[in-house]
Parts: sequence; C-alpha cells; structure tokens
Amino acid sequence: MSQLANKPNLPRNSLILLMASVLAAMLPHSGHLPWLFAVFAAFVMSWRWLMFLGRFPYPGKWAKTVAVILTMTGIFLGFLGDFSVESATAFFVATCLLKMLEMKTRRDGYVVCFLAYFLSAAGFLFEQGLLWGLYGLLAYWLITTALVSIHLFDNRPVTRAEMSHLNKVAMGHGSILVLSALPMMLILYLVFPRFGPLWNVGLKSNQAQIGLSSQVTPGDIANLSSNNELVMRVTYKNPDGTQNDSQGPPASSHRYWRALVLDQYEDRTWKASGWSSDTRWFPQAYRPPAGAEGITRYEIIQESSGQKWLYTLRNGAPTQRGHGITETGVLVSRSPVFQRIRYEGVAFADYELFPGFIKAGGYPNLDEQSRRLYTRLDEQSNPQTRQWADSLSQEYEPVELVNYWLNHFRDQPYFYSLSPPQLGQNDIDEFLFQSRSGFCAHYAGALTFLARAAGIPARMVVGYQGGEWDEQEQYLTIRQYDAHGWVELWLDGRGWVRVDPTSAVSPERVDLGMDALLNAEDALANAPLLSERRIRQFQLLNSMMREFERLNYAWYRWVLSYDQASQRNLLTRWTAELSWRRIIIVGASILAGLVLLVAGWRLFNWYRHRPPKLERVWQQLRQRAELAGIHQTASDTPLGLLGSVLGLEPEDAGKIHWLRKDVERLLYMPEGDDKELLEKRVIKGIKRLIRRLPKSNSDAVSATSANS
Amino acid sequence: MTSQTIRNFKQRRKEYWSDWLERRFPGQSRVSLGYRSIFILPSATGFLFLLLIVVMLVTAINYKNSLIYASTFWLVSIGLVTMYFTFSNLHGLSLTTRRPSACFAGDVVEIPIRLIAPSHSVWGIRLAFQEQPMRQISVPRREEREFLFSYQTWTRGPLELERLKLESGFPLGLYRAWSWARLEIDGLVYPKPEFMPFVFEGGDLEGELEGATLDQLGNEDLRGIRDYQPGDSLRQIAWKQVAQGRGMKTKEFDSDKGISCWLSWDAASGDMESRLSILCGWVLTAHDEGWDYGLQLPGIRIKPDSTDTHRDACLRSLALYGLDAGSKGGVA
Repeated sequence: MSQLANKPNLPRNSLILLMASVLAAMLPHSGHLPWLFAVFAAFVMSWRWLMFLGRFPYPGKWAKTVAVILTMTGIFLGFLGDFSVESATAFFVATCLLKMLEMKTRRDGYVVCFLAYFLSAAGFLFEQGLLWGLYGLLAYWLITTALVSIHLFDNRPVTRAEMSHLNKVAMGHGSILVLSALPMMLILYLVFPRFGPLWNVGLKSNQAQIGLSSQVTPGDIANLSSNNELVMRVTYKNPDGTQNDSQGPPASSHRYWRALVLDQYEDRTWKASGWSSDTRWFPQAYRPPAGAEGITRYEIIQESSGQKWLYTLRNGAPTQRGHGITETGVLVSRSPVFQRIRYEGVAFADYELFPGFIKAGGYPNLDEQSRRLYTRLDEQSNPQTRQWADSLSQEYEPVELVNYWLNHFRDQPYFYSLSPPQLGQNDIDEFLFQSRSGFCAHYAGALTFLARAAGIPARMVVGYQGGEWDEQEQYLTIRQYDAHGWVELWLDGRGWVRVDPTSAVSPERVDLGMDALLNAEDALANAPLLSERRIRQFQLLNSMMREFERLNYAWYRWVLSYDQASQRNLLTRWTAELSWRRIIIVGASILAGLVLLVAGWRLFNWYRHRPPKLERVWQQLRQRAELAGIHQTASDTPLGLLGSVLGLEPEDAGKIHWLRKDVERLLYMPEGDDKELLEKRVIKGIKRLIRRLPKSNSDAVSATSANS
Repeated sequence: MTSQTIRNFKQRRKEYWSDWLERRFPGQSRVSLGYRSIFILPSATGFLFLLLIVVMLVTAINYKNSLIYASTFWLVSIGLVTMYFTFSNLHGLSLTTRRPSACFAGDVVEIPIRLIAPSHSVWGIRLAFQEQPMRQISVPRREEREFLFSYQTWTRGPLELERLKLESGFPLGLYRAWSWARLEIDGLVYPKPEFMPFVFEGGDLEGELEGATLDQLGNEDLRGIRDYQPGDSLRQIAWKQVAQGRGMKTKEFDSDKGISCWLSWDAASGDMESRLSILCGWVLTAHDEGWDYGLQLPGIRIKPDSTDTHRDACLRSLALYGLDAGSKGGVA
C-alpha cells in the first residue's frame, strides 16, 4: 500500500469551512478566555490562510515544537497554574488552533473537527441561554458541513463555480445529517438515564461569582444594585403541590428570600459564623405537612452562584437529597452550585414562631449559648450607639424599643441612598448620628447593632427581596439588584421576628421593589449603557424583551432543568397513561407522520427534477390533442402537431400561425436573453390553445359539426 | 514445514474468500452495487468519534449539563444515521467497461471504467485495482463518467480483471463502505513480444523470401519520395519533409510488397511461452514492414496477408494458443 492511500491529504478547498467551524466553536469561550487568546487565534488563522495562499511556509518540526511550548506556557502563566474549567477549555482551544495550523492529512482534519465539536459543547458550561442553544446548533451544523466537505473535495484544482457548488452540496448534506439525527436525539435526551456525577468534578469555574458573599460590609449590597444578572426564577404553587395558574403577584412577605444569616460583627463587618455546623439534611429535616395550613410551595430555578447556599422563604425545609437546612433556617446544598439548578421549595406558614425546625429543648426559648452568640458585639466600637441603646433599654420593653427605633428611622430625616458617604471607623455611630443616609445594609446593620447593644438577640439576614412578577407566565424574576438585608430579632415568647428597617425609611423599596426604586434614583445614570432598566423605557423593545424572557424562561424550565427528577416524573406519567388505545394512536400517528414525511420527500424530489415548463405544457397539448382526436406518432414534429391543431380550430388560424412561427424560431434559436422571453410567449400561446381545444372527442365532433 | 502450512492455510483462506465473494457477487459485464455487495464497518475515525462521544457524555454527567447531554446525543444520532448515508452513497452505483486497447503480457493497461450514478449523486468514492493507488471520484446523479484505471497484466490469454475495490467514507468518514466488483471484460492479452532476428525454416516454404536479404530487412530500402496521394498509409509519410515545410510526401519502399513469408512454430525455439513470444515479435515486425506473412502453429494455419485484421487474428491465436479458448473473453 502506498503512503498516499493510507494517508489521504486534506483537500485544500475544505479549509474555509474548517476555519469557520473552529471559529464558531471558539466563540462561546471568548467571554472567559484572556484577550491574548483572540490575538493568538487571529495569528494562527492568518498564518493558516497565508499558507493556503502559498505565501507562508508550512511550520517545520521546530516551529511546531516552539509553538506548542510557548502556547502551553502562556496558558499556564495566564491562569497562574490554576486548574479550573476555564484553563482546561483554554487548553483545548489552544490545541484545536495549533492542530489547525499543522493539519495536513485528512485525519488531522477529523481531529480538528472533533475538537471543535467538543469545544462547542464545552461552551455550554459557560453559556446556556436559548440563543446560545440555537447558536450551538448552528455550530454543529457548520462542523458537520466541514466534515462532509473533507470527503467531497479532492486535491484537483476546481473552478470557483464548482467550488461554490460543492460547498452547497456539503451544506445540504450537513443539514440533512443534523436534521435527520434530531428525532433520535430527542428520544435519547428524554430517556437516557440521568444520574449524579461519576466523580466529584475537580475543575470548578472560577468565573467571578457575582452575588452575595458570606460577609457584608456596608457597600457590598449597593455594588449589586446596578447588576441586573439573573439570580433565580420562582413559580408559586398550590399547597398540594399542583400548578397554580391564576394568582396575583405574591405578597411582599412572600418575597423575602433568605440566603444567609450573619450573626457575627467584627471590624465593621457582619459575618456568618459556621452556620453549617448544625445542619439537618433532607429526609431527616423534611417535615410532612401535617395541618397543611399556611404552607407555601414554590419551585426555584437558580442560576449558578458558586456558593453552597440556596434560597428559601422563611421557615423553609429541604425537599431533596443533598439539601439541608441549618439551625438558622438557611437552606444549603452539600456541594456548591456551579450550574443552573431547579428545586422545589416549601415554607411553613409565615408564623412569627419557628415551627419548621425545632431544636430539641431549644425553642421557643433561646438557650443561653445562643443568647450570648446573638447579643455579642465587639469590644469598643461605636460607643455613642451603645450608649444610646443602653439608655433606651432601661426605658422600654424590647417590642416597644424596636418600634421606637423604626419610628425613629421613619420620622427623623433618614434617607435611603445607594451612594451614601464613606464611613469611618465607628461606622454605625457616623451613620446614625451624622450621615443618616444609607441603604438596606446600613439600616439592618445599625438595627442589629442597636438591638444587641440593648440586649435583644438579633441577627442580620441577607438575601433577595422583591423581584419582578410576570403576570402572564406567573413567575417571579429575581436579579442581583434585588439583593437586600434585613433583621431578625428574638422576642421572648414570639421567637424570631423579621424586622425590615429599610421599609420604615423607604417603603417603596419593599413594596415596589428595587427596580421601581432605582428608576427614581439617579443610579440609572451610573448603570452601564443600555442596561436592561434603561431599555425598559422603550415600549416596543420592552415588550419584545419580555417575550424573549418568557421564551428563555420556558427554555430554562423545560429544557435546561431536565434532570433525574423530571425524567422520573415524565416517565411515570407516560407509563401511567399507557393504554392500548394510546399506544395504537401514538403508533399510528408516528407511522402516518413517517409516511407523510417520505411522501413529502418524494414529492419534493419529483418537483425538483420535473421537466422544464415548456416540455410539460407541450405534453399537455399533446394529450389534449389526442383527446380531441388528433393521433400522433413519435415521428411527428411539433410543427406538424400544431398544423393538425390548426385544422381543428380554423378560426384561430392567425394565432396558431404566429405560434408556429414562434415555436420554429424557439427551436432553432441560440441561447440568449430573447430566448427566455420567446419561451414565455410560446408557453402562454400553448396554454391558450389547450384551453381552446375541446376536452373530448365527442366535443370535438360536435364542435366541428357546429362549425360546418 | 510450518511456514509451508501457514502459506497453504493463507492460500486456502484467500481462495475460500474469493469463492464466497464470487457466489455472493459474481462478475458481470455490468455490475450494480446492491445490498449483497456493499460491506460497511466503522473506520478508525469512527472509533475516535466514539471516544469523543464518551468524553462528552462523561462531561455532561459530571457537570449535569443538559445542553452537553443534548450535544452528546446529537452526535450519537448523527453517528448512527451516518451509517445509512455512507451505505446509500455506494448503493445503486453501476459499473461497466469497454474493451481496452491491445496489450501485451506484462504491460500496464488502461482499463476504461464507466461509472453510472443512480438517482442520487455518488460523492467521493475511491477506487482502484489492487496494488494501484486509490483515486477519488464523484459522479453527479443520473450521469455517467468514464475513467481509465491502470491494470497490471501478467500472462497472455483472455483478459480477466481482478476485483476492483471501491470504497467510500462519505459523508463523515465514520464508516467505511466498500465493495469488490468484478467486471467481465472482452479483452485479450497478447504474449509478451520478443524481438529476435527472423528464422525461416521448416516446411516447403523455406527460402521463399524474395527481394531482400536478412541483414537488410526492416530498414531503408527506400526507393524515393513522391507526392502524397489520398489513401497512402500514414506510416509511409515522410514526416521529416512535412516538418521542413516541403508538403506531404510519401516514402516509397522498394519491393516490400513482394515479400511473402511464413512465420512458423518450428522456426522459433524454446518452450511454448517463449516460442509464442518470439512469434509475436515476428508478427509485429513483419506487419510493420508491410510484408505478407502467414502464421503456422501446431493445428493452426493462417494464410499470408498484410492487413490489420490479419495481424489481429494472428496475435489472437497466439494469445489463446493452448488455452481453453472461447470460454472466456468471447470472440473478437
């Protein structure tokens, strides 16, 4: 066997498609790769192109080695030896580019295409929106087309027309392949068993995680106020778990999504102190609805947060394996959330007491240890605030005291502002007595501090509040700018009570939501150009955007969050509804669909390859003439036929005469522009003649007898 | 001893295989590739593709990523439907051939093979006779294309083609569909000519060679040059004169017309094949010289003549001499 037969060369004419597919596969990664990669890609692509044109040499052994070493060092340094999903994909992108540079044989072409397939799929680790899904489809089509073209071209030089024809053929085959694979893909997608990770994925995305963090220094939450990234979407359900189709927007009390409880104050910062130490995991902690009174059920589709905490309403409980609830009522997951997840949520009534999770012997009386924890402050900061709280606590009962403070915030000139002045060492003193301007974290922090100073156990809760209610699709969208902080106070005999000091200062923040408030604020000016909020000011864009959001939501809900649970649901529903009638109906419709498909395909093929129009019209005329009694043999000429027709239709003699002249000219005319015009005229003439001809022999006889 | 056994075994296996193929897909003058004659197996690339799918599936499972699942299953389905498309690319393709130009044993002959595409186009198939480099070809739907394929001949006799190998990886190269087509062809392989000085002996015709001695044979026994007349043999045109721009001239040879001889089996020496080779060389030379020559083989006697048909008849009887003539190759 010759070397040539074993290693067929890569046809040079498929290079354009190959380059296009590599670019298409790289695009979803552009967001997280260092910008140097773009330069690298451009460099490799141009080199390859110059090689194609013959202006640049093929890289030699040394050049290749140097390129590989340089690139890999670059990746290592660029990611500082950090093994993450990003650096892994960067490695693959680089491999793909380098392979493309040196590809020579057809096998190299396969490797490049397969890498492109993989990269394209790996892009879904970062981008999963509806548009990216469609984009992935496009990329797959392109790569498949490139693969087809490898087999279509050989190394003969081709003309430009031939090349574009072959490219079209490749695209056609690419489309047929991708589309004909669709049904089986859908079936596999639905029935292939979904199970947990085979091993704990070591590679995590280190994409900057935007969102809440486990410590809050006033200012953090304000940073989120101009961030419109999606946090989660919530659908509320009926207490029995069925879909709730007609409900108004949830009450604002149903919009306090807890993420974290911050119970430790240190150096101007509120922190969470080991909240996961006492956690009850799912089957243990789940309390079946005994009374079924006041249960709120909902479903959350949460975006990747990179954190272990989940979102829940107050008094929530975990509903699935791997989720648990902490002593402080925070819903947590065993592993950080690195992709979009969906989970059911359940919350037990908005009682003031804490019935969902009763610590043995602990509640409703707070034990000493907890009491100490929740009233602890640092040693000496904010003396003024301490003194104020201390003196007030002598006068008032805890409940009165809290009301006093809320009234204080409301009546005194306190302002809600997203850009408050910088605060110094004794930040709460400065905030309460000087600046009097801040946002939720300031008020919540200050109130917690005051309560603790007055001996009332208190903790700060951060999460999200508000959100945007979609009336049509009945779901709540929560974005980063809905981040919020509030306070929970322990009142003896009543347990933990939620107090939101921000609502005292700026009720709009709580009632209307952050979005409405921000519209009034001049924060708009600071928001990035054409942010979502700004776009909303345009009516049409607004409604289009809303429609797209809905579609995207359906995409998230029905496609992306298809997991083990939804698969089990679907399959049980199918099997439960399985009956002979159904099987027959479904089978018959599938069969009918297939038959229609094949018939349609054949029809289409016939249509595509039918004879030209003139020929068809001529056939019609022949048939009609046959019916009218004019018998023809294979040797009859067209003009002869027209002559016979002339005998049948004497009064049209003039027209037929001209038609004959036209046909004659058409038959002997060279190709040209006039020919088309003439052909059209002839077709028209023949059609008119067909209409004139009698439909059957008897008609013809009667017509001729009438004439005579 | 063992190597002998192995060789025997290999030989037997090869024979078994070709017998099986012959039963399944017999040679014909027009071969059409159908279900029984196309074989398909995953290629090495196909296994690489499978590896890709496994890697993607593991990624999808570990990251619980629905879209990667979808991509993986898309590739799986593409891989499966490609099997059908790879097969149907070859399916329905027909091949025929024509008689190639004359050839002598040991020559590489160019066999014209006509590929007739069915109602679909046949893309990127590669084909060749064994031991020859593959050649990539596409035939648009309902069209015919003819290509010349080199074929190495070894022995004289009726031209029997080995199986032609066709293969195709189109559209994605994940599978290799192939077929071995045996085309029956109406052709002859003449004995390899050996050019030896003439020997005329034996029989009563000895010495009947007139007008020239042995030494002078075949060369410039030129009498002169005259103007070209329509009908003159192209071989006798004085091309040198034409090239010098002196118009068409015809060389006239001296007395060649008169020579008549018998080329005889007994005059050639050696075993059967070398005698046939020598006779073949003589026939060719005598024909080139424009003599009247006759051929005498044991049991065969062809009367002297100098036409092309005569030459072909002589060569044909040399090619088929001693073989089971007529069973293969047909009558010219």
